[in-house]
Amino acid sequence: MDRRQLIKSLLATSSLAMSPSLLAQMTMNAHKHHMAQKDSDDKTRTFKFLSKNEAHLVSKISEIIIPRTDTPGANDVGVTEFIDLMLADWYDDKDSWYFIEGLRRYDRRLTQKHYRNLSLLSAEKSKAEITLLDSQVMQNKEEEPSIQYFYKRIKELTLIGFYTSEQGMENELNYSGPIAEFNFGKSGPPGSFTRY
Amino acid sequence: MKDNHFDAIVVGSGITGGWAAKELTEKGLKTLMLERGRNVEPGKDYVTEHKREPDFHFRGKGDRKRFQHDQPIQSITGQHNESTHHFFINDRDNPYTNDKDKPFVWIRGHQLGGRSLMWTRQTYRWTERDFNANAEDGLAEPWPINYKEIEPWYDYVEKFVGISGEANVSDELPHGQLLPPMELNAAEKKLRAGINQHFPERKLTVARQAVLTAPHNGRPPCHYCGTCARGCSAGSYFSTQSSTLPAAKRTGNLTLATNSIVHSIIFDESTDKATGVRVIDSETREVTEYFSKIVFLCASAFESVRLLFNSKTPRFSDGLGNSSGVLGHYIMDHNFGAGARGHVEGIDSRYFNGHRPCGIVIPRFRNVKSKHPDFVRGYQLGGQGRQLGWSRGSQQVGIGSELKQQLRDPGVWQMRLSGAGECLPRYENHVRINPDVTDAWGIPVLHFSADWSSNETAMRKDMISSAEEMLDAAGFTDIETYDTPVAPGQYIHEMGGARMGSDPKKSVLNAYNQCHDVPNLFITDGASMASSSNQNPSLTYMALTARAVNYAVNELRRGNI
Ligand SMILES: Cc1cc2nc3c(=O)[nH]c(=O)nc-3n(C[C@H](O)[C@H](O)[C@H](O)COP(=O)(O)OP(=O)(O)OC[C@H]3O[C@@H](n4cnc5c(N)ncnc54)[C@H](O)[C@@H]3O)c2cc1C
Repeated sequence: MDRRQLIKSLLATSSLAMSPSLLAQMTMNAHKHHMAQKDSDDKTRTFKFLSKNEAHLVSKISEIIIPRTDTPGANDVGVTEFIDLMLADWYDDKDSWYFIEGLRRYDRRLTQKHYRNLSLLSAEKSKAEITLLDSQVMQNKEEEPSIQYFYKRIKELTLIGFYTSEQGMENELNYSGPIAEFNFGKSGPPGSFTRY
Repeated sequence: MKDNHFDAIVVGSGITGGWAAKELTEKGLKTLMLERGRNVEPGKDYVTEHKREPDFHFRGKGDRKRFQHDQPIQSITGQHNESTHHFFINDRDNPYTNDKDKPFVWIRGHQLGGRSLMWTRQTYRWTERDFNANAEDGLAEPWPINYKEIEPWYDYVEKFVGISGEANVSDELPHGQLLPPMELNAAEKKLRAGINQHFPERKLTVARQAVLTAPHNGRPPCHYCGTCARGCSAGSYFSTQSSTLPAAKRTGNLTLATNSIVHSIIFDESTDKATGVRVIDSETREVTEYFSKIVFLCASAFESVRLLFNSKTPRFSDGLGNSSGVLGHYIMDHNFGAGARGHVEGIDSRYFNGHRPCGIVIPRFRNVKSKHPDFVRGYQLGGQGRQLGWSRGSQQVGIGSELKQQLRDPGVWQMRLSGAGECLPRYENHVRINPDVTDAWGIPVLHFSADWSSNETAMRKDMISSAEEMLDAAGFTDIETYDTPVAPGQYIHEMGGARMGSDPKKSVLNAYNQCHDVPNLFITDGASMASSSNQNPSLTYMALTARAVNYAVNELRRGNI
C-alpha cells in the first residue's frame, strides 16, 4: 500500500477517531517505506550508460509515449533498461552522446519555458509538451538537430522495447511469437497470429 | 592407421554436396563427405529456433558492433540478423578482395548443411527458353543440355525434396511434382485479380517453396512458426540435415568429416586423374590426404573455383582443369533491388494462425512473345503483401494511449513487388587468385572483378515501371518506386566460373558436369552454370548433381573413369 492509498483508506474509515499525531505517524511510516523502496530500486537499477537523472527523464518520456492503461506501460516492462542497453552497447558512442545532448537541450528548453525541468513538470504539462515535440519531430519540423535525433530514437526504442517484451507481445498484441509447440506429423499450428 | 581410401569424395555438405552424397551412397559407393565447417545437429545446434523476441539480448536488432567486427560483409544481407548470424561466416577469417570500384558481396555459410540451413527455399525449374538463351542470342557459349534432358531429373529431385506450389501457372514456370500450394493473402489476391484483368499475359502465384504442406517421405508438414532461417528441427523444409544427409546415412556408406577444409585436389599427371584431396583440419591445422576413384566438388560456386585455382599442377599451371583458360570467368548473380510498393484499403482480411514462410512470384513475361527494345532475357518479380505492424508507430505522429490502441490492430495493407533479373554471362566478369592475401588457414583467397552490364541496368528500369503499373492497375495507392543499388553477389545466387559446354576449348565442364581435362572430377554446384536465367538456381543444381552422379557411377562401372 503506498502513501496515497493509505491516507485514502484512512479517510474512508473516518468514523475512526484519529488523532493528528497518529496521522502524522502513519504518513511518516509510509514515507520511510517509500524511501526504503527507492533505495533498493537504486541498488538494482545500475544503468550502463544513463546517469540516474537521464534515466529518470528517459523513463518519464517513454512512459508518456507508451503509458500504462488497462495494460502495462513502458516502465512496467523495463523500456528504460532496454534503451540504456542500446545506448551502452549498440550505438556508436558518438550517437549515444548525441542522444544525450538532444535530451539535455530539450530539458533546458522546457526549463526556460516553464521554469522547471521535465522531471518536475506536472503530468499534464509533460504530456502536452511531448505531444508537441512528437508532432514537430515526426513532421521533420524540429529545428534543433540533436533534439530531432534524440526524440526519433527514444520513440523508436520505446516501441521496440515495449512491443518485443513479454507483456507487450502477449498482452498488448495477443502475439505469442514463433510457435514452439508442434506435433511431428500433425498439422494445425497453435498460438501465433498473423493477419492475412 | 586410419583408412583414407574411398570410392568417392564429396567436397562440401550444402545443397549440392548433400545431394551428391545421397546419390553416391545410395548407388553403393563408399563416400567421404568433407565439410570445412562445424557439425550442426537439428535441435541441439539450431540455438535460436523458436526463441521468442523478449529472449534476444538486443531484441532482434543484433549485436551491431560485433557484426561490424566479425561480419561486415555477411551482415549486408537481410537474412543475417540476431537470430541467424551464427550460420554465416566470419569475414575476417575468410577474406577476399575485389577491384576498387567494383564491390562484390560474397555471402557464405561454412557449416554442415552450408546455406541449405538459411536459404529462402524458393524452388523453380528453369525453362526451355533459359537453356536455349545463349544459343539463341549468341551472347555466350550454348548450354550443352536442353530442358528435355534435365526434365526427368527435375522430376526426380522434386519428388524427394517436396515442393509446395501451384501448377499450371505459366509456360515460364514449368511444373512437375508439387505439393498443395499455400494460400495467397488478401492483398496478393487483390493484385492477382488486377493483373489477370489488365495484363492477361502476366501471372501471379504463391512462391514455390521447398517447404512441405503435407507429410512427405516421413517428414512432417510446416508448422508455420515463420522462422525457417534459424533451422527447422521438424525437418519441414529442405536442408541437408532434414533430407539428404539422413538418406545418405541410412545407406551405411557415408563417412562424414567436419572441420575438414579441402586445401587442394591431388592430381596424377600420369593418368590425368584426380586421386584425392588434401585436407587441413580447421582446428588442429593437421594436414591429411584422402583418396578416391571420383571427386565431386560441391563447395559452392566460387569456393569450388578457388579450389581448382589452388590445385595447380605443372601441367595445369593456371588452375586444375583450366586448359580452356575460362576457369573463373563468366561469373553471374541475379540483379535485384528495383521495384515498387503500394497500399490498398478496404479489402477483406482475416486472422489466422501461423506465418506463411514465403511470398509470391510473377514469372518472367518479358522477351517471351515479343522482343523488348531495351534489353534481352528477362526477370521475375517477387514480393509479399502484409499489413504494417507496430513498428509503423515510430514513423507517424501520435503518442500515448491513442497510439497504443491504434497499434493493437495491424495497419494498412502494403504490397511490395521487387525484380530479380537475369545477368548476362560475360568474360570480363571473373574471379582469380589473389596471391598476396590468404585466409586464416593460409590458403590464397579470391579476387573479384565483376560489374553489371547495360543490359541489367536497362532491365532494372523496366522492373520498376512494370511493378508500378501492375500495382496501379490493381487499385493500389501511395505507390512508391525504389531502385536500391546492389553489388553483384548480393542476391546470393552466385554462378559460373567453371561453365559447362560442348567445346573443351571454351568450357571447363561437359554436359554431365564432368571436367573436360580431368574425367573423374565433377563440379555440380553453381560454378557449372553457363547462363543465369532469372529463376532461383538451387533446384537446377540439385537436378544437375543427381544427373551427374548417375552418369559418373555408370562411367565408373563401365571402367571409363
Ligand atoms: C539467405 C539466402 C537465401 C537464399 N535463397 C535461395 C532461394 O530462395 N532459392 C534458391 O534457389 N537459392 C537460394 N539461395 C542460394 C542457395 O543457398 C545456394 O544456391 C545453395 O546453397 C548452393 O548450394 P551449394 O551446395 O553449392 O553451396 P552451399 O550450400 O553454400 O554449401 C557449400 C558447402 O561447402 C563447404 N565448403 C566450402 N569450401 C570448402 C572446402 N574448401 N572444403 C570443405 N568444405 C567446403 C561450405 O562450408 C558449405 O557447407 C539463398 C542463399 C542464402 C544465403
